[in-house]
Amino acid sequence: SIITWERYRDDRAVVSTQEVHFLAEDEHLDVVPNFSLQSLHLLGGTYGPFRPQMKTSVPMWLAMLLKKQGKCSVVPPRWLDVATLKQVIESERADDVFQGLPHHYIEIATDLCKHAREDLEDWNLTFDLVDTIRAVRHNKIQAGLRSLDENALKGVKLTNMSAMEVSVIRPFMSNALDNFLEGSITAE
Amino acid sequence: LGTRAFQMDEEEDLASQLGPRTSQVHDTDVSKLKRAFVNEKCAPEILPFEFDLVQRVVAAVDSRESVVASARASASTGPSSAADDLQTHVFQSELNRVRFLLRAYYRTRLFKIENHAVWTLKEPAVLARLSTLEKEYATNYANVVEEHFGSVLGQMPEGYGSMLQQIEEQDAAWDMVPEPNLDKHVFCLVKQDRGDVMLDPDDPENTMDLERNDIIMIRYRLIKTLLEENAVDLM
Repeated sequence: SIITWERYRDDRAVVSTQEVHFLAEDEHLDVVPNFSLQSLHLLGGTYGPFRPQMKTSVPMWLAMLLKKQGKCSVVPPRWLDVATLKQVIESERADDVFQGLPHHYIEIATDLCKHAREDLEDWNLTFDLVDTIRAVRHNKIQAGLRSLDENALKGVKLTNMSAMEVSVIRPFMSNALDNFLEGSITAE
Repeated sequence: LGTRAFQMDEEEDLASQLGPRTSQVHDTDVSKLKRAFVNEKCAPEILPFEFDLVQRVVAAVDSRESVVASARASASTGPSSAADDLQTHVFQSELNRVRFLLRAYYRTRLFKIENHAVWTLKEPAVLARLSTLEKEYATNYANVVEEHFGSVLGQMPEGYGSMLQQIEEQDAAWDMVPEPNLDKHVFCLVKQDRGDVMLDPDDPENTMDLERNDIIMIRYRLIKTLLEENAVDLM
């Protein structure tokens, strides 16, 4: 019998929550600087020039860096407002399908609600609404997992699932289907 | 008809309000390294080493590190503007991010090499995916493990002392060598419209319609070719 190491848990083999968040930090946000700076020629792209009161687009990690230094305000993305989030909750509850939220909606909302509170119309309510969306979607995912059968071995489409949601269900879903596959091969 | 049209308008409005799935750029070396790292973490087998990409990124990082170092040096000996300080701070932050990606990419590959050292060394197609340093690492690691096992295996009865075979037999298969499980289930993001694709040659009638931005959970073996063709990314 072949020794399998797959059950051995090691952070070199798993994309952790922190790593998913790290990957999200390259999502772009608009910021309004209160300072002047020539263009920043970074390894990952060129940003700026930065002029007071002139909106410009930067990756989220840079937006948070500038925000923490008091050098800008952050423009919340169009989907991160109370009215839109409420609409999303309604649609998520009404349909079996998942709404087309941004792939990193949880990470973006978390960072803004943590570091750019005064730039949101109501950061507390916003955070609650995003968490409700996450919970409603999570329930749908659970229901989907319970309904998996041997057809799942052909592949499962998870349209509009977000990065963090994939990361949360990955260990269970992959292992369950790996075991299911092993079981179905043995049964033949 | 009127109500339905209104409903569809509402849905379209919400979709346009939610915006695109992602706003990241995909064609820079840093973003390619990021994708290489994630693919490597998620794939059960070791993928081809991104020699050119890594070389370019390491060169860019080295060059940027000297810029930052000299900016720091001159800032500590003389006056520096707030703008220069901010730029240096931003450069340093980005360097930390890129260095993390490089380290994580190497470490994930070494982990896979360690888990399947002997198999990696004996399969030429797999060995070809390693960098020169990684090949050295695989050889040294396999030797160290063999020495370590030898301390126990030497006490097994005659014919059972091999690290590679359950029972030592000339010309028999090496059945004690772990290899990656290509049937492991992975999540993947479809990057190109491919239409109806036959994924499983053992089940040719079962096709899947693959559209850009679809996320599918599936056995790695069935999308291995698509990954090699850069039609999907793992996540």
